[in-house]
Amino acid sequence: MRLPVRKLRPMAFLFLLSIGLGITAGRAAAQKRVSIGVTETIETLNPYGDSVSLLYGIWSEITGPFCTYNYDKGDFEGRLAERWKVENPTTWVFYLNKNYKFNDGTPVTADDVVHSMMNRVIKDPQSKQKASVAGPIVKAEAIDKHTVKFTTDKPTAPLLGFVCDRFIVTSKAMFDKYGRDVADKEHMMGAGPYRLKELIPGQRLVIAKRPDHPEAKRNPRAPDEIVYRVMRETEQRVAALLNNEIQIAQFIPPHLRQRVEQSPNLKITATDSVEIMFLAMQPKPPFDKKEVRQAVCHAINRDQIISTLLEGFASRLDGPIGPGQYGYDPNLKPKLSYDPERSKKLLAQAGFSKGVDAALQTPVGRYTLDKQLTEAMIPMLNAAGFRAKLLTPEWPTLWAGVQKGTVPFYYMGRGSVQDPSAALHQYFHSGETPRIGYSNPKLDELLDKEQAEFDPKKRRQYLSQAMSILTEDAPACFMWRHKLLWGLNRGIDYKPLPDARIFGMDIKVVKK
Amino acid sequence: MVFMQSLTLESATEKSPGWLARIVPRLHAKAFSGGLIVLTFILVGIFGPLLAPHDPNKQELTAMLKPPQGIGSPHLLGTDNLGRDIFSRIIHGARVSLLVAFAVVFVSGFIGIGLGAISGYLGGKADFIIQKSVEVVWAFPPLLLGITIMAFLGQGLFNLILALLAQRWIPYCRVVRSQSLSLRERDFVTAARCLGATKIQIIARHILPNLIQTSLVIGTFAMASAIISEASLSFLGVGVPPEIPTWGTMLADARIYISTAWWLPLFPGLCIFITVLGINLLGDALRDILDPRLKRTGSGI
Repeated sequence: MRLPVRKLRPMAFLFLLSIGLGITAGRAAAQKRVSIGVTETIETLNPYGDSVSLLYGIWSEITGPFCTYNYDKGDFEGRLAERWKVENPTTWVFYLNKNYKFNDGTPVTADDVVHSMMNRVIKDPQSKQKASVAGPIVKAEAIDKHTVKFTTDKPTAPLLGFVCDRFIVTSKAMFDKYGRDVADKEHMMGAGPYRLKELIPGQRLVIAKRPDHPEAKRNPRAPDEIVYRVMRETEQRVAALLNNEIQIAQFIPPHLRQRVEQSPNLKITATDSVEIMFLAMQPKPPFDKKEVRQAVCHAINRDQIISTLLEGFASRLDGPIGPGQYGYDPNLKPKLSYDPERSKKLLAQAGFSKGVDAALQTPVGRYTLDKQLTEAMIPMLNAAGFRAKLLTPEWPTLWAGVQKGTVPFYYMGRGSVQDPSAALHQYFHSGETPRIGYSNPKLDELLDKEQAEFDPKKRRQYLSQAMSILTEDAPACFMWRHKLLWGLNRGIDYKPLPDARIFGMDIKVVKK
Repeated sequence: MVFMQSLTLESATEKSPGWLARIVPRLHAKAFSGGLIVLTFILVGIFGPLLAPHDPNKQELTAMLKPPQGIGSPHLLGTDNLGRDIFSRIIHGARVSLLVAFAVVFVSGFIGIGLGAISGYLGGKADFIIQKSVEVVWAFPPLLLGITIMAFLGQGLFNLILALLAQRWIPYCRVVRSQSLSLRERDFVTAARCLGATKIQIIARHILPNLIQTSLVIGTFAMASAIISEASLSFLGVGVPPEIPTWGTMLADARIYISTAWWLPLFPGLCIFITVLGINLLGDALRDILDPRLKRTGSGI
């Protein structure tokens, strides 16, 4: 039996139309959701329960960045707090944007900000953000419905470095109604351009765009939904990128760059990180002696590691920070350059002419080639007179130990160092955190002075002097800043930030 | 073919059969191949430092990720991500696997056979306590238990052996107990008891010697399992510290290079595969030879 052509035409038309619609719908759907393979774990439902760079960015996107650092302008700019003023050296006043509303439509008020700072960041025993977010802030109070005042215990010029892109504002009403745990788990109210859709600790976090949000108008091509998938293994991220399971992959190691670039659908984007990588040494035997700490710094051939293992995708640090970071001083002295013979002499001076044991601990898979880089350091340390060995505990074990101050010698990174003040205070100021447990009254004095100094020129001078003491006294050896490689699907237009935070509003979904 | 010809010639001339002709029919294919692999493994493990051309931890960052270069070249199986010689690391890795496997087999055998014999022969409360302990320990997933123990004790070769011992004694204990239950009713045990032998004497002189064959077979399988577990824990990063080269850590280090440097995961993976296969073949053969009933029924331990 043959069907007449005339009868077939409408059917064929409908068939082609349906295929066309299907393809269009598929493409539209694909444009709506962007999956990102990230390396840092998301272990808690409590937004204040951890202090890692990526999570600050994600939570800021959900709860609204209080304020943010604009790398193009090189300055901070307002978001939830649309502007601010320094009333006096210990008092900052922030004016809230009246258009910011929580998911349920209720406006964000000064009471929510005060509650978040006082009850969640400072007083909550579960908070891990007291040092890095509140820092010198001792009191937050509402002046009126949309104005809030922060009082610091001492003059703090770089206060914005503590609160911008970090301070998470959540709903006081939800907290009062349900209590902390239930509010965090089931009623997460934020005022950011995205709302929390799903959070499975250790696996993924899904956020959905709020089209009515003031920020959403800034980038209409921002993805409707973003899935942050925890992918610790680099091969896993690259394979997922090649299979289009994810559209953005964090931290592609240099040796896998070509594999990504060979795919016609993918591209690599590099960005200079502001994360400083260092070897921290707690001032306990044998690292209580300055000579031993300096010997560690002289023992590591950073240039060789950068040129070989990192294929040049890093820049050496001769002090705590590098070019482009606030307060960088190219003439900073001393420079603890590679000199194994000097290391041996320093060890002998410290009374360890026959060598000394040193167990270096490193995370695995958290930073670019972390285990490989630290493995390469072990023979260098041994050649300089140490009896070094490497330990690779699981990240939760290592991180808990670092936060408690029980890890004597470790490789770590400190992100978001646009302005080094907060990082230097966090790791090196007496009594701030036990992460290193270092104490030097002269350094404390300089750090206090720089924090109190509102004149940029003088502040840079204090910072430079403080960093000179740090380099000389060597409670940490500053290694390098990575040039971070990101794998992107060509359907995505995205310029990664130097602090590795990922804001959905910075992502544009473009047609292939 | 040559062998057949020699047989024919020998038959024709009616000479007594040669040594090869006498041995070959008795040769057990599995025992031979398994034994050969295990013997090689043991020899490499013992004489590793003499055989390895390089220090397994010597790094040469300017020569990293060199592919296999063949016989006569400085790096037969290539170099890894830190420029270390893979052949030398494989040889030293065999040493660690051998040490772990033998330590685990002997110590777990000592504990398991001892407790199994006591449990089976004495019965009563001793049997109840030992078997309940077995059930409790056996309830944990082996790898999870290993990871938990390592998390508490920290990385290290001795700790790794302890973690692997945690459950390895149980197969010995259960099988030996069941055999002891049967042996204690046998006439020779009753005779010994009548002659005034103590319980310890009966267990030591009459029960244990009859358990050796079975234990030998369990031991071979425990050895294979210990090597796999050691590799698994090292692969997960909770085994030995990175400065001790093992096949498991080599595999773990190779993960991020799996698509760009195939030789990094291939050789340690092959070593684990061949060694475990060899030990299992030998175990199978021992079981067939020492206890033919199991072979007929097709059952295993």
